[in-house]
Amino acid sequence: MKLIELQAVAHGVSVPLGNAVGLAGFVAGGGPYWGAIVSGLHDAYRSGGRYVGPGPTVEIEGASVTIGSQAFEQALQRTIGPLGLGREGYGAIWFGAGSVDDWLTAGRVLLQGPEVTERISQITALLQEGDQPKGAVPRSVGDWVTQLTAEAEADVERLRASEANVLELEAKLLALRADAAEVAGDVEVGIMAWVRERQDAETRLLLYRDREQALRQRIDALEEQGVEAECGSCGRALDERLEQVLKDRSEEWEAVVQDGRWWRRRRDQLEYKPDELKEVESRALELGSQVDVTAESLERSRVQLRELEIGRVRLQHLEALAEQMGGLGGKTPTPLSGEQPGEPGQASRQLADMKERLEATSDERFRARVHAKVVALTGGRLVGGFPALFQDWSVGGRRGGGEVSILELATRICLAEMALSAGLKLDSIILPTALDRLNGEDLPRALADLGRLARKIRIVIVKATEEVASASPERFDLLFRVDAAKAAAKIVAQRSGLGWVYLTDSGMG
Amino acid sequence: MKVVHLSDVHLGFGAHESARGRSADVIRAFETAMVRAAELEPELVLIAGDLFDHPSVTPPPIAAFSKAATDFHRRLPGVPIVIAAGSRDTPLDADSPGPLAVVGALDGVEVAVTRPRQISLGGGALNLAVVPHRAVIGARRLDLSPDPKAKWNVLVAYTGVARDAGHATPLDIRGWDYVALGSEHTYRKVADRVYYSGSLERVDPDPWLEAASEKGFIVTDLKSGDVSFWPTRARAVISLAPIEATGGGPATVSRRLAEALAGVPGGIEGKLVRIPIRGLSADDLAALDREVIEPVRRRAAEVRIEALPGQGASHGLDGSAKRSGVGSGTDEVTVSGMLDLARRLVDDRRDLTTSMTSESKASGS
Repeated sequence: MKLIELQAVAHGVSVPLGNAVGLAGFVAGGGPYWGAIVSGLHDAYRSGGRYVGPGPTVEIEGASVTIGSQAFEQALQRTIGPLGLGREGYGAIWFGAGSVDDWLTAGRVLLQGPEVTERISQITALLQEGDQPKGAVPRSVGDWVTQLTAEAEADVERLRASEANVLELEAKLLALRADAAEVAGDVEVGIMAWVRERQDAETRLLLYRDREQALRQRIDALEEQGVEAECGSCGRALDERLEQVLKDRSEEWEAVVQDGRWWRRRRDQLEYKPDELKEVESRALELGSQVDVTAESLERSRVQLRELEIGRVRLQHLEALAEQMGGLGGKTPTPLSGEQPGEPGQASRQLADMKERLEATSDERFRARVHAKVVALTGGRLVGGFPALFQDWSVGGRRGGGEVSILELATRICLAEMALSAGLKLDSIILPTALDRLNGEDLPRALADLGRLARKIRIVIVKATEEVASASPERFDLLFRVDAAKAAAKIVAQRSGLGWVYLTDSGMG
Repeated sequence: MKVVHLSDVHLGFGAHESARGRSADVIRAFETAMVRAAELEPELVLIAGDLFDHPSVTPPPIAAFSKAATDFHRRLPGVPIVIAAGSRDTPLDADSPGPLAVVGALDGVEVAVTRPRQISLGGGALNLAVVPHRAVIGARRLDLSPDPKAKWNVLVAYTGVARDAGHATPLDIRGWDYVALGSEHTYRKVADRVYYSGSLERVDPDPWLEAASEKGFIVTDLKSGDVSFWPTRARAVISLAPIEATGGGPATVSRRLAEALAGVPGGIEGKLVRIPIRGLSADDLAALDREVIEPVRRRAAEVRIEALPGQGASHGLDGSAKRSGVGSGTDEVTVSGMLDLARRLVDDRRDLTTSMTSESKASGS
């Protein structure tokens, strides 16, 4: 939700943010306005929908909504509901509201995600119901780990054969494909040979037919023309040679007819595929079918192999869990003094233990994240002192000072970054702690990081002093300063950052 | 006519304990540049903004400038030093004098702090337009134009240069023989006769960003149009490759760090050293700091530690995409198992409750 106006109601002063974007510094020289603005924001937010009167406003779906109004509460619940984040958590992220515990809880919730948050809520609800019914014998954590481990082991065992299967089937498929390719080649060659031979026979038959016709016509002509018939070579009349020529042509005709009949028989034979070719084709079909079947089997085995990998990882999870929980798998559960299996309260204790472990893991991750940010903002200056600093601060032991200030700033930045990663629509945040408390060397890095954050969140509002703002004015996009020259004090906005020119007639485009 | 152009000096930078000597580095770089500049015998020195690191600098940086300017003028009397205020030189309060008002009182030093100035030098031969930061920011236009009667027209400004008109103030550079710009820490030619000189030392909060860029100032001859860059010697920066702790621990990191440091050509003495360490917990890093890194800090001019997350540690607790978690792969495996177990415990408890409730209803108890 984007802040569009902040107010110091008691002083009659407002800070119109309008369309302001970027890193905005509120330059307060120790006057009352910033404190009034921040406390007004807290009061409005804490009212939980019962706020009355003028107050800070946000933009929600294009409309201006007062913080603390019913409309604001409804919008707030819609925003934080999907993440499992409470309103305390959102307040911590938005303007640093609440205790250190609220901040750390918000970090935990953001890191653990909605599913784990829901699971922890279920456990909490069950714990609040109290002990399990009398006479009930709950399964212990140890029993459950044992069963889950046994299930995972059985899955792995069942699927173990898939490793060898995959290798075997891959080799078989490779061989089958090679054979199929070879046979397919034979089929092609066979078909080509058969077609060529048939064509050849057809051609020869036609040739013989043509020759037979020609001879028949010549014989008929010789018989009709008698001795006057002309010699086919020299054109003279055959005379007494007619008989010999007739005899030769007739003998030739008979031979052609004989040969033609043979070629006709041959052509008829080749009308249908030869049996050998049919056999090769049949073999090719069979091999094709075997390739398909083998490929399918291989695919199934590969799926099983993936399931085997998943099963192994799951088994690894459970073994690591068993180790972490003190080797509970198959042994007695976490020892509790004087406890016997089935004792009232055992399941509750186990549930509580599980909840604690899940939360502790998130807490540790959040701490690691804050640690990385503190190291980045201080250049590693606080590396040695961080564990003690964080420990003291998280239990409420240490307050104030440059080191706590940088730790709190780092925590706020981490919360904002995590909220954005989790999909929370965060259009504005306020950091009420004065930056002048930071070590002078850390300040430029802190402003650079806040500037980067301001590129992802529409506006980041920080409290700055004149010295802080003038030490790094290029880091700010906007400065709000108190103009107390007039009768009624007013907050004025002053552009900051770098000036920009656009060169003309320079050949730069 | 020879002109020396420098900018972004940031006198007063680095006055913090953990950055020992950086303040002196910056002063030394400026003094050296002014001595070199004097040897080149220019007729004009331009400082295009951010002479000082912040408007409330302590006396030493102001004294350093005064001495350097005095020494320069002892050698080259009458050569003006003209300064445009940058964002760091300019007090937030327009009525507040700031350090430039102090140095502007020196003979031979001209400053423009809030409004542009046009200065005529050399009996009208040189027309100089000085545009400070405050004159550019938010301005709709800049009423500056070259003087056609002057032999040379030079413009000095502290500003960024935009790629397109957008919200930027138009600046016509026709007729200017040279445009000296400030605000960037790296030497850069923007257009013909338009340059950023860059800073004299590595004055960014992250000096490793400027590792590849040379530091120095520009000398230009207005007659020939030649522009040459004169490098100054800046503090060396070293950035080590990430030291991996994943799969090892503090002892592994200690050994790898020692190897990496031993492999730095010329050693790390007096250099700015960045050491990224991956996959070490806060507690282990704290122990390493005491035993291993502290001695390194005594050798280097500045040591910056970066704590990087372990390999593959980017998932939230529920394994959802790219959350912000920092942890090891084993940690995620254990968490996944715990979630599985938590599911069973909750479901078992519910089933148990349901069955006991049904039994007691059936028995009428």
